Amino acid sequence: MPAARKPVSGSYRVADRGLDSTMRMLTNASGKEWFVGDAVDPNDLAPGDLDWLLEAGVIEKVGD
Amino acid sequence: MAKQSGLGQKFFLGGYDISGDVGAINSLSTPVGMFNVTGLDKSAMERIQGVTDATLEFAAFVNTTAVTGSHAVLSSLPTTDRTALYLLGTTLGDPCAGVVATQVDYRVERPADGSLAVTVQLTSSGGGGIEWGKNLVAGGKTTHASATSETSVDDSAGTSAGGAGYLMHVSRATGTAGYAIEHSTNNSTWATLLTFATSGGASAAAERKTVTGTVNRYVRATTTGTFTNAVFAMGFRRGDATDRVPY
Repeated sequence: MPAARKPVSGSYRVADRGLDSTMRMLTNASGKEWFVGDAVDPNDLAPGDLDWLLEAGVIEKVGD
Repeated sequence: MAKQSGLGQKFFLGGYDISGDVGAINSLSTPVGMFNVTGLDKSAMERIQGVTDATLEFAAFVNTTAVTGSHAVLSSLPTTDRTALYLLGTTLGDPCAGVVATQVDYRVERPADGSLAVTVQLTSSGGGGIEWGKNLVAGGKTTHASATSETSVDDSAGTSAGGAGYLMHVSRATGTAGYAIEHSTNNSTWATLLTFATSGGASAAAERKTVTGTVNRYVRATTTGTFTNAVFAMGFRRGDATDRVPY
């Protein structure tokens, strides 16, 4: 049985990168979609996603 | 990938699929200017590179179908730039070439044997050359009944030099389709890499859109919005550190 994933803390939202805001900016393996300004629960993302999404500026941290 | 022939290709211009009216790609050329800078103290040539150029010349048959036939698409010789996408194969990930160019000729030839053909030349005009990338659409052209995503193309590794996407919006039945290219590190969580400004409405349309920075390992074509039966083609050229024209 795989070990339970440790919950990830922090508040994040989808950043406005100047792209067409009517389009989804992020989608996960389950098909959940996020648009510009939407809050993102990091626990909805796969392990490791948080790092590249922050690095790419797709999401931004807004609180601890 | 393996060695391949030139069979089963596609060619789009300005959002029009004129693959069936184009009989030959006569030339797809990206010449690079060279300057001779050989010093007195050298016994062999020294050269440095100058500006690059791009030309695309193709031969077409005359098809007088209104709006979408080759004569309607090619004879107008618009003063504005045209965007072309040439697919060397129609399998997902096959090479494709995109260019933003000025159409400089529509030459009709009717020899004594009674045949009728035209030759068209496009010369790059946007400060870039021909961009070789990969086809992002299974079959080369596809129909999305509603918003969805194509299967991804796996480029083995991410890159950090941006890239350029090419969209050919051919048609749709109702509504307005939005087009985007998404990227991912793991093929499961997807972020929008670029969004095309083109609204996929009643008219055919084409667009080249660039992006800077990181492009992750997996890329895919995506449609968004409310529409039915959007027909389109899409390609993406991943930037490289040695690009003459960086993104």
